[in-house]
Amino acid sequence: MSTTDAQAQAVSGPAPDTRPVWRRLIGFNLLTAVILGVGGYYLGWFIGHQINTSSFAYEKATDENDVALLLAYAFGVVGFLIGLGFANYPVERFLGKPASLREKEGHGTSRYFGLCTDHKVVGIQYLVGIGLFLFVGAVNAMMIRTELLHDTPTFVGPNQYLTLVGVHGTMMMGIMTSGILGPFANYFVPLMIGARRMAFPRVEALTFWLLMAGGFILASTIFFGGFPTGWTGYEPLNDQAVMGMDSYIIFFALVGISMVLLGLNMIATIITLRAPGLTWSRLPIFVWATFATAVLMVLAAPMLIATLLMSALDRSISTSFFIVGGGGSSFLFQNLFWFFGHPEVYILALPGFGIVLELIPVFVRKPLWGYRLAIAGMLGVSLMSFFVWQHHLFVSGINADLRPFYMLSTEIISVPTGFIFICFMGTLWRGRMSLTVPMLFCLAWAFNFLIGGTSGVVLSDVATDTQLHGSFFVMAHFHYTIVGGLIFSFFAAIYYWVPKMLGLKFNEKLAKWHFWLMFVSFNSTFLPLFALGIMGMPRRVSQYEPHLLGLNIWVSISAFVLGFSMLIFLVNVIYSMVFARVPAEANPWHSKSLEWQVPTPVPVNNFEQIPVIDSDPYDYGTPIPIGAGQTAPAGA
Amino acid sequence: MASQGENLPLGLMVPPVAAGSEIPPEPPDVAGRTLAVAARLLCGATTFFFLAFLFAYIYLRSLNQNGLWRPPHEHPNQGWGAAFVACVVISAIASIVAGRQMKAKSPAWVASALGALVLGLAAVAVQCIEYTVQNFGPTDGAYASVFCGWSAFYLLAVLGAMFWLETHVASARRARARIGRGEPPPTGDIKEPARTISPGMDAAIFYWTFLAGIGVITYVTLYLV
Repeated sequence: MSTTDAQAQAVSGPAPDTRPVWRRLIGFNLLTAVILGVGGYYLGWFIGHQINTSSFAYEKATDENDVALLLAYAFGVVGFLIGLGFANYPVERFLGKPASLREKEGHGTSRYFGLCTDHKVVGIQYLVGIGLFLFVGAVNAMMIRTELLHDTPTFVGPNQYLTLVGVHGTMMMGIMTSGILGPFANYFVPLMIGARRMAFPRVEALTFWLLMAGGFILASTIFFGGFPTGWTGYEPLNDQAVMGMDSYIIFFALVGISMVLLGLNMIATIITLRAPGLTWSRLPIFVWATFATAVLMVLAAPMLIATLLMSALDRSISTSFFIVGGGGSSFLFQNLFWFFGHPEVYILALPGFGIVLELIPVFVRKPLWGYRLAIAGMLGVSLMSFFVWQHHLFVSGINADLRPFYMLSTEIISVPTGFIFICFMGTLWRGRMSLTVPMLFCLAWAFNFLIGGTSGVVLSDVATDTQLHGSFFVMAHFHYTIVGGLIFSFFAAIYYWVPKMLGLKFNEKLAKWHFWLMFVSFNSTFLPLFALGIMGMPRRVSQYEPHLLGLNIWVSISAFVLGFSMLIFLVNVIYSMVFARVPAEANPWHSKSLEWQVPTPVPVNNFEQIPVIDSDPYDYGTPIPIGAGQTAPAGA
Repeated sequence: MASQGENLPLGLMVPPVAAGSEIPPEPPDVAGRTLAVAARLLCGATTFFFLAFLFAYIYLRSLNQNGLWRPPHEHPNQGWGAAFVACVVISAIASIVAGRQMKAKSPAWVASALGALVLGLAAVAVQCIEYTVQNFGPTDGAYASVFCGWSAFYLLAVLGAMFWLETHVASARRARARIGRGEPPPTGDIKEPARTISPGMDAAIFYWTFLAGIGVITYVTLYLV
């Protein structure tokens, strides 16, 4: 594609900002956001301590003032968002000023540190932000495995251990809900569908900053005593916990809001901003996966938000949603939480399916086999994920007559998941496979997710689940599903798409070291957990039977190697992006999909003219890339 | 094609934006479709949010833990409840009328929309008054918790919908005032802002009408069943 005027302007660069530094810092930016966030936090804290009724007497007397902390977090987040400039547009619209599309944004690197409505900037913001919290979660995991090197508590106390487990699980499950949609769907869906932007650019930016605010709030739990519930936040522990629990509640509520808005924006974009000729049957499979995930986000996350608000009310103003002594029920929490929680598993897994199916046709030089079957699989998984949640409650005392239904529905959900595998294998069949790093991660995904999926079928059986519930077997299962299914595909996406996003190549030797070390150590870490679970090792305890020590030491050492493999990745990022700086080609994988047909770095406008799509994205075997021959007038 | 990345700060990311460069806007009909889709999705999300409260109501009522579901003295005020739901429903009807008048190019639509706005805010006020006169509080058992939680978050949703409606009324009034002063239309990245009011208004009306439906279900569940 030829260079546009805007691109030419961009390459020559904007006029230099001659204002002094102090003047540039005044305005709506990250610095202002932090200042207003901290100010809001203390304002909320102050107001919470001024409320003086008999209901809060206990809280004030024990200095466990949940009202103050919840208000502090809420005011802090509002202040943070106002500082970034998110209140400007609503206020303008309230005053009757006309709608507009863009904020008054900085022109240089400052765009990455504030409200930006360019989907490419938001994608990169997500990539860095999520990477930061992934690192925090991973460090927690290393500390957990350090503690489990001994069969009695040595490194941290039992309560701190529970907090470590809780922060690790919550950080990973919460932040990674947007792990692929945040960086990759935000960046590439508009490019893949031939659009210039997301449908709601400010909402897109808001989802990112909400997630970041949430991440810091969760990390702050250590200042308030942590929380003992793990990532599920179960009642009645939730209600009995110290103020650190409030950090969990606000974090997950913010994640929920971010998920709803992200999903809504994705669906609206995919439905309304597709280029001419890009029919539903020509949509790239990654876009379909994004669509299916977004539907789950929009429908499941509101349940989570409502549940956490009920929980906050129970903790702060003593309502009785989940408190048995007041007429509530802790099982209500379990039901509501898992109505969100099981779709959440697919919110994590589906984008991984999409990435793998998107990438393998490129590396086997074949069209995607069973395109419609794969779509049916993804939509089937989305739909069915709402009908399986009670399998998490098999041992919680649910009506025994309900168990067979939920056992069967859980087993049946493996059928649409199997469609994805069939498409994966059908595409590989007789393909000319090139074992690039992204392809290696895709192959590893298949291996890992197969183990995760089949162990899930085993666990769906009531008799098995009642034996293995709460054991390391369950932990091994979901780590194979989430790390094996999501994190491996996340790295596949990084190695595949980051050269387009950042314009620079990764060092391939380091990347291959990263892959092999990660793949081997991941399996060496989590495969023995199945055995440990069968041998009776329970989750969330730091004291265990001495005969389990040997396997635990093996697992811990493997986990440290897994952590080391992440350091290799980090070294590769720093080496490739800061020191080596080898420019990436515009289309290094010779892909035919639309995002690779634009120059690197991608122009601000994405496309000089909106392309007209005249073939599907996996049409390997014809020489012309899609959309390259024709264009439609701008705005068509 | 060689990357231009090495010329940029950190050698990566997207190009810096030159001052004055803008992403061309979508045509108004695309913006309208986008808003219509968003309104429907928002309805889906709102439904599932309140479904959690409906589930809590049914679950806790059927359990009646320790007989504490609803102590005998707990009765929400029927009069205030009826007034609340009446305000919500009439406001939604007024907004529908406003939408139809707008499509018929009748200038009276602004008055109808203002009426809808006032009635929606009146519903919020009525519910707040009810909180002060009812004979139970949020800590008085499971029913009281569901009642207060459900109705309070419903009020927040109503306020959100009223805000959305207000932005369109305010835009229309400001545009009229500008025309009255003989000023030219504003120049911005959306060239014809007036054309975005109608699809925006349609989306807001759709959402508000849907929310009114949830209000009726709320009323029936909390006051009548």
